[in-house]
Amino acid sequence: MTKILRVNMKDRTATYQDLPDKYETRGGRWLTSSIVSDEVDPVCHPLGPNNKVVFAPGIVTGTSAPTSARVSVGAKSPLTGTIKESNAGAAWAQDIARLGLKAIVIEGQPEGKDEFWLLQITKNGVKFLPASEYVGKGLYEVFPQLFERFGKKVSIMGIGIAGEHKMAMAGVCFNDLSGRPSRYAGRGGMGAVLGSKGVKFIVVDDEGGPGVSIDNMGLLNTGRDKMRDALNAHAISKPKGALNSYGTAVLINILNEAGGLPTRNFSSGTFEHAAKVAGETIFKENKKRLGKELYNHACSPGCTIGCSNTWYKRDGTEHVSCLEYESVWSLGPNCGIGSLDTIAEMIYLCNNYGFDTIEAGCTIGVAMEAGLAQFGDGRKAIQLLREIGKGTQLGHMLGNGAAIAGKVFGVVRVPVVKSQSMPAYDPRAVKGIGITYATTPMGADHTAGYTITTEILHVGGKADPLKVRGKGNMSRKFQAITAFLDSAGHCLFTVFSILEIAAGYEGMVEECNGVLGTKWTVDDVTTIGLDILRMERKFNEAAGFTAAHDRLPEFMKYEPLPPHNHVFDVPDQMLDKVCKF
Amino acid sequence: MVPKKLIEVEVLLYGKLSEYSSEAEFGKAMAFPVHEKTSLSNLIDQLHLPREDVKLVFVNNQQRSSNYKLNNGDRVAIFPAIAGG
Repeated sequence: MTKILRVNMKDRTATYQDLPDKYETRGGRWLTSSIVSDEVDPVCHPLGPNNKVVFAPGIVTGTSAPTSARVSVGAKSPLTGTIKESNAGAAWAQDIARLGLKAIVIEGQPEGKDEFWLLQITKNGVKFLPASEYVGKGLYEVFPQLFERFGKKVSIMGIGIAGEHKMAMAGVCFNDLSGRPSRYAGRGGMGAVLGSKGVKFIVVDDEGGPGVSIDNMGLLNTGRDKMRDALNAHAISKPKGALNSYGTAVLINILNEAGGLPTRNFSSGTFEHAAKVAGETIFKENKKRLGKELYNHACSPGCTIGCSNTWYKRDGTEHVSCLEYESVWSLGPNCGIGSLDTIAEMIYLCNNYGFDTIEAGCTIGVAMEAGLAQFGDGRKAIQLLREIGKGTQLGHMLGNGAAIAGKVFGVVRVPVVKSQSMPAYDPRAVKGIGITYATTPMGADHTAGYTITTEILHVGGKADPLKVRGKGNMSRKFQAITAFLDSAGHCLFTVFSILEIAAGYEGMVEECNGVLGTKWTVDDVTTIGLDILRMERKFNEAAGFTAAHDRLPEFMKYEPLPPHNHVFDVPDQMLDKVCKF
Repeated sequence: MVPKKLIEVEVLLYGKLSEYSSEAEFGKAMAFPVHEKTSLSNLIDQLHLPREDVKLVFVNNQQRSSNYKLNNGDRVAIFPAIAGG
């Protein structure tokens, strides 16, 4: 009953393939990385005919497991040149799983240049519909038109103008529960690869689909109950808990107090206006503008955490959803900008054009370093984002990420690893996350091995963020667990609860065993996670990556970061050891 | 016995903890007098914060544990359990 759907964009055909035995127990990132490793030449051009884009829901996605509506998007990345897995929470993930699809593989390219298609997937198969009427338009304009055309119950995946232009900061957009184009598999330019294959939208209707194939419903339900109980019990993930009240932007103040909030293009670890743009202020200001308290919402069906916020304008109308920590930081403190209204507008533009907000913010930060704007000039920053959206020559110079922008404008302080921009934690103040940035196969990526959990948040243990000892093992452990979680199909935020409530962790494994008929134990989580990392590293090596690429940018070794004035002093040998497993 | 000197620390309460003080606005430090060498756990009690709700404390950008002894001018940032990505 479970199939792989292969779509060929050269001749616009769709074939349903029986799932090969070797992929039987794989899902999410494990499956996307497997198919990319098996079928994509590591030295292919990422925008050429031989790259492939693989969508895979998680192992438990589409079942009653809580917070499991996750989809992995994999390919060779045009931003990093490595294997890439990018992840989003969206109903679309459940819909493809319920159509009995373990993966959708997009191969080949249209012969016509700048030809774009809309793929309509139902239980009856795939229709290829011309999408030219939607090209060059903002996603906020087009998503409502698609719901009007195909019905309110469909799920939409789309690329914006950035993907049409094949820009390396192009993300993959999914609709949220209110139909907004606001959920992103943002990192690594997956939107550009889809653009190179002429895929503008994939609209899915799971009506009449076979559902997810389940081996042992009783075991799945047992695991699901344990997971749900753990999430509802923990102060961070429970209803009206930390994430539901303040969202992820609550981290702004804590990283600022820790001296690790990258400010003005990673030149400092504190921002004098941090509190003005933090999650507490979002809550407080929304309350003023709406006249009532607004708690956060879920990104997808089955999410019990509900961490997504919405920002309102002074007149009480909606501005944008959502103001995540990463987006607020990259377009705010990293650019010296301390106004939520300005940041909200920039997030809106990123969602509209289809940009990864982290890459966009770091690129604007580098552009400011280069003198294209002053740090703190929100008006000019908005203009630069619009420039990228217009696809002008300057737009293309900026639209391909911070590494390219840094090269073009001769900037040295460029915060990237493997050409992907660093997220909102400066490695000189939080050394463990720096090790993750350097050693994950994904390029500078925080979710890949989120040591912040222990180093800053003191969940599942405590560690001094400024110390080096033990951080190599810590990063590797988080990387392995995350690789499994990304394959299971759970939201990463379940980690805060299941690392402290053992029953929840067991529940996650039981859910997978219930769906698949496997007999995994909690120890298998790490074993499988390391297997996935090994597979990804192998692809990267064949693509030309060596130990020399598992390093942070040179400036972080000699430029101390105030207020702690540390440099990144993790020895190279330690970074190499992390990768020996 | 010589009475302990009175000092002043800056207190910032974040997340839900700000509800425990009408003065502490987000990002605005509240000047709070204590005796020299008062411990963090004692300060938390003096602020009437439930101990189980306090998860993290930074003093002058460094994480400190409950037995840390306060000095004049210390910037004390107090957080409940929070998370993000």
